[in-house]
Amino acid sequence: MLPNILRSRDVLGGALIVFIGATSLYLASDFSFGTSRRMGPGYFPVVASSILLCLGLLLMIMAIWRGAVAEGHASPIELRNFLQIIGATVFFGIFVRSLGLLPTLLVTVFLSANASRFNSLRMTLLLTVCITAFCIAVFILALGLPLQLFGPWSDIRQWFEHDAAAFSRAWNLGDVA
Amino acid sequence: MSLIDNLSIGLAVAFTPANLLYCFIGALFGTLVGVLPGLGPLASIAMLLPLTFSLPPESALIMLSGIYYGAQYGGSTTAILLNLPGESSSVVTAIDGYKMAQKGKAGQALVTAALGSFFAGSVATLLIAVAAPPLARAALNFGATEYFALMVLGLVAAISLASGSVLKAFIMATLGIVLGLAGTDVQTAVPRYTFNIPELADGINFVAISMGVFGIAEILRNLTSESTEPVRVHKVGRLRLSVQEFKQIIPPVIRGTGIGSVLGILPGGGALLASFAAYAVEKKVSRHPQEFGQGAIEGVAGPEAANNAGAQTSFIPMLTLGIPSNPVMALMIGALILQGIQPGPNVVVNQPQLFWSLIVSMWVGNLMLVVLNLPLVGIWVKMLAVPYHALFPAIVAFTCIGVFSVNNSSVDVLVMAIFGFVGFVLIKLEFEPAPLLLGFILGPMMEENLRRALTLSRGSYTVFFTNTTSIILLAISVVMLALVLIPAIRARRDEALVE
Repeated sequence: MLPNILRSRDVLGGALIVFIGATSLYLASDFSFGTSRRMGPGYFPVVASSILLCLGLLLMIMAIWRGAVAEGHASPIELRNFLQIIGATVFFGIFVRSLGLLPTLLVTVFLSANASRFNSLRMTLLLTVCITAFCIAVFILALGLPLQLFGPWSDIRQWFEHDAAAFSRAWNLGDVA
Repeated sequence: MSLIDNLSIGLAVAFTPANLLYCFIGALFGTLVGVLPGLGPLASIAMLLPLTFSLPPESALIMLSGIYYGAQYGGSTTAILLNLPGESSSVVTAIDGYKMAQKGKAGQALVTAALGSFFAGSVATLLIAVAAPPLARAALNFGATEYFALMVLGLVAAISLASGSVLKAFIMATLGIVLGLAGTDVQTAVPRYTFNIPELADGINFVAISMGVFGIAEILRNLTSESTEPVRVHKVGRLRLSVQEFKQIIPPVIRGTGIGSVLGILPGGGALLASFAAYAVEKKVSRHPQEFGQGAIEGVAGPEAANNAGAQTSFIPMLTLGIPSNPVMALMIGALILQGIQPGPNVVVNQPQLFWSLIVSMWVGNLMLVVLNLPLVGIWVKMLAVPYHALFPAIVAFTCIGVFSVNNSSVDVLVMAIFGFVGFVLIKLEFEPAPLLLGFILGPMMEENLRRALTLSRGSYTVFFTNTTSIILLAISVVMLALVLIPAIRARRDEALVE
C-alpha cells in the first residue's frame, strides 16, 4: 500500500504537472532564448514551462500543507472500459489507411461497444453491424468523404510480402513507423 | 452603413434555401444532442466540423452555431421530463422543471422554457447586431500590446469563473499554452516539440485535442456512471400557458435575458454560469422563495432565458476580437481558421456577408427551435428511450472518422487517443479541462503579440503599463484574480457555483 501522501489527488496531480513542466523546460532549452527585444524560439516556451512547473509545485505543497488524504482511485471496471475505448481509437488510427474504412470500423465499433457491461455479445454484434452500415451510408454514400472502403492490406497477398519498404508504405505513417 | 442595410445583406445570404437548410440541420442536430444526456454540443460540433470543410464559410458557421443554441433548447426538455440535464447548462432547469412535471405541469414548464429561450435569443441576437460592429471597429485600432493584455484578461476571466479550484484552472490554462507551443515557430521556422513527426509541424491538431479531451474522455466518464434503470418520462400534458402564468414568467424572462447577455460576453462565462446566476437572482427577488425547488415556474423561466441569452452573446468576443469565451467558441474559431479566415475584428468589417448572415440565421434558428421543441416534443421524448450503451459506440466511430478526415491523418487519430487518456487522467485528478482548450487556442496568439509588442518597445515590458487600454485591461484582470482569491468572496463564488 502506498503511503497516503502519494495517493492524494492534488499531490499526484501536482507531481504530474511538475513532470510535464520540467520536461517541456528541458526540451525548450534546446532552442535559442534570445532577448526580450528579439525573442528567440525558446523565450516563450521557457517562460510558460517555468510557470507551469511552479504552479505544479504550488499545488503539491498546498496539498501536503492541508494534510494529504488518500482519495478515490480508478476501479477495475473503469480500467477495462478505458483500455477498450482507447484501444478502439488507436486501432482506427493505425489501420484505417491500410485496411480501409469498412474492416477498421467493424473492429473499432465492436471494441467500443464491448466496453459497456450492459451490452451482451448479441447486442454488441448487432450494434457493430448497424453503426458501421450507418457510418458508411452517411460518410461515404451521402457526404462522399474520400475514404477507401477497402485498403491495400485487405489484399491478402500483401500479408506475405516481406518487403520492409512496402510494409512501411502500407502503414503510411511516414517517419513514425 | 446603417443597421438595416447590414441586416438586408444578412437576410439575402441567410435566406438562400441552402443556408436555411444548414440552419435547420444545425438546430435539429443541436436539439438532438441537447436532449440526449451524455452528448454535449462541444463534442457534436467537433464531430461535424470536418463535414463543413466543403461548405462556404457562412453555411459552416450557421450550421455549427445552430448546434450550440439548439442544444440549449433540447437540454431543457430532458431536464424537465427526466430530471437529468441533457446538457450541462440545464442543470438548474431540472430543479423546478422536474417538480412541475411531477405535478402534471410538464407542458407548462416546456412552454415556459421554449418561450423564455426564444425571447432571450431574439434580444441577445439584436444585442450582437448592435454591439458587435462598434466593438470591432474599436478593436481594429488595437496593436500587439492591447491584444496581449486582452488575452491575459480572457485567460484570467476563464480561470476565475471556472468551477473548482482556481489554482487548478490556472494550471490547466498554462498547460494549454504549453501544448499550443508544439509546431513550427512562426518567426524563426524552428520546429518545437515536434519529435520529428512531420504531422506535428503545424502544431497539434485542434480538433484532435478537443475530441480527445472532451469527446473520448467524456465517454469514459459516462460509462463509469452508467446505470440500467429504466427511463421514466413524465406525461407532457397541455402545451399552453394561462394568462396568469404568462404574466408570471415575463419579469423572470426579462431579468434572465439581461443576466445571461452580460455573463455570456465574459470569458469563461457562457450559458452555464448564466443559468446559475439567474436562478439565484429569481430566488432572491421572489415574494415566495419557499416555492423554489417545489416547482416554481419562475425557476424555469429565468435560467432558461439566461442560458440561451448567454449562449448567443458569447459569440460577441469571438466575432469581434477573435477571442473565445468558452470551449465551444474556441471550436468556432478553429472552424474559421480551417476555412482560411483569420478571426478578429476584420471579420465584421471585411466579411459582412458572413457576419450578418450569421446574425440573421441565429434569429431564424431560434424560431425554428420553438417549432422543433414544442409541437414535436413527443419525438424527442422517444429519442430518450435509446440507452447510452447503444449510443456511445456510434460516437466513437463518428469521432474517429471525423478527426481522421480533417487532414486524412492517422497521427491525428492517435493524438486524439492520447488526449483521451490525458483527459481521463485529468478528470480523475479533478482538473477541469475547459481552460486547457482556451489556453491552447490563446497561447500561440499570446506569444505572437508579446513578441511584436516587445520588439516595438525595444524589449521593455513597461509598454504594458504606459498604454492606456492595456493598463485598463490588465487592471481588470488583477481585480478579477484578487476577487476570487479573497476568501470571503471565494466562499460565495463556490456557493453560487455549487448551488
